[in-house]
Amino acid sequence: MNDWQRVTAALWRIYRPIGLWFWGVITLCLITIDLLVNGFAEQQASLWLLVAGSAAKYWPAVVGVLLVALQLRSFLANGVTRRHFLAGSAVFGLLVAVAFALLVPIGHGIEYALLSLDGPVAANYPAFSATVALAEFGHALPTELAYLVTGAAISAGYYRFGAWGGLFLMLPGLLPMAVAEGLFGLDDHGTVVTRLLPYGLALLASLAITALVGLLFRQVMRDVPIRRATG
Amino acid sequence: MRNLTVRYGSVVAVDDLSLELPTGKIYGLLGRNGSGKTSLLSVLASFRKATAGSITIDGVDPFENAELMRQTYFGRDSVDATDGDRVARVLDLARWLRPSWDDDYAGRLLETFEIPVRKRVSSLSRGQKSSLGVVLGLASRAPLTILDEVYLGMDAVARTTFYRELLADYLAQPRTIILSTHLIEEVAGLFERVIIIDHGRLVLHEEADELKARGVAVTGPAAAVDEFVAGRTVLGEQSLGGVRQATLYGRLDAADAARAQAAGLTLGPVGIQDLFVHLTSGPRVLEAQR
Repeated sequence: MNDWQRVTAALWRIYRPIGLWFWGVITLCLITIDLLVNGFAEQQASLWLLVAGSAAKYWPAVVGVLLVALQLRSFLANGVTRRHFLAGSAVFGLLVAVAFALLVPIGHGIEYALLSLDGPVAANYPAFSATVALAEFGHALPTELAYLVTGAAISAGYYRFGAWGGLFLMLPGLLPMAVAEGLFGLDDHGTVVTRLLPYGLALLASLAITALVGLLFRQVMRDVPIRRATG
Repeated sequence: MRNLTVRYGSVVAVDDLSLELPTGKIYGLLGRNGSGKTSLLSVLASFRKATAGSITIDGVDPFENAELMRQTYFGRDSVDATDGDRVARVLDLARWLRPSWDDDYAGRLLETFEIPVRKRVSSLSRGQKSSLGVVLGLASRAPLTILDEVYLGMDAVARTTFYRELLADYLAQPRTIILSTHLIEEVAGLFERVIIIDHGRLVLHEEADELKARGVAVTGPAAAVDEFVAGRTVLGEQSLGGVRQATLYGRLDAADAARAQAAGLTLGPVGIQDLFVHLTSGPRVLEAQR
């Protein structure tokens, strides 16, 4: 393994148990609620898409924050360069985003199958199919990448420039999240929707802004001084 | 290091400092609070970029150099680990990331320092956190090991254990070790060379024995001592009954030594701490050497 691969592998080992617990609890809770609600009334919306879909994007944002605030110092103290830390983190972030984007349609499929055990689902419930799954993945992936980069960029601004500089850099840092939220979303029932632009253009715009802020993040971090821990 | 400067806004932490450190020695880096020690070491360990000047290790700039950073350990007074992590996880990370990590040695050191591996870093005492930093530093087996006031909070037993382990490991696996400390007398015996900086500038860099030879302790009857030290730089005096000891700064020549002997005075070595205090107190002329 080379240096950045070691970083990716280490991050994966660190976050894997936390992610498994997180998704295990979410899945257990939502299945229980789904079954309870479905016992009394027809379910008009996908709880999985509305709840787990949101959780799937906030988690990468938190990971982005923690990579800078916690992991950077520990990794550099163990002889890793900033360059390799950023490269390894980028690959890890991409893996997280892809994994979480995959979980959105997979969970929807499982929820749909469970609800279908009692007969046809309600008319407003977003029916599951391969096309729907692809659309959900296609909406979730750019959104999660945007949240990841937003979390990392905002954290980097505060880490490097302190409170006022960080506050100023929040504006560009928030752009990927704002653009993704503006272009991709869910309706009240959990069906994915694309706003303002056709999907292809929306995807391009979202990924371009995310990549641009990602580059800004890299510039901020490429020679950042390593702060000491408190206490 | 050539003309190294580190600034924080208008504050100059390291001021145009030039220094050459041969490898394979134990260095003592001494300086008062705010003298620029940590800034200097941070640049050496690539934790921060210098504002001006250059630094090279074997002719190569260490900043963002993967090979050199892998071979460097920089332990600070606060251990660089995530507070919420258990000790075992902190060691895991070192094992995963450092090719030279010695797991068996780390295990032995953990036992020696009595650090519980299942405890979270946040719940370790101040001294245990410092000991963890020492474990990481020694077991990393880094050819350049920098320990910056890592003893904070360690009790006398733990500090003694640290010095013993450091020396034993250095003898078994020679490498370059830089120790920054305020507990000068405790550690002075380990130093092969001493670097003293003050206000970001080099005061001196020389062999520990040469530094010790810069001063002499004169002991004998009070009157004879007073007569002998008249006109010389006296760093300190102690008296007990009619016996006085004066610590002098400056080398004595053969004639002086003979005169002292004739007057019934005894000449002895001076501690590095006394010399350090003298060199970094009040107005002085900077004396960059080598």
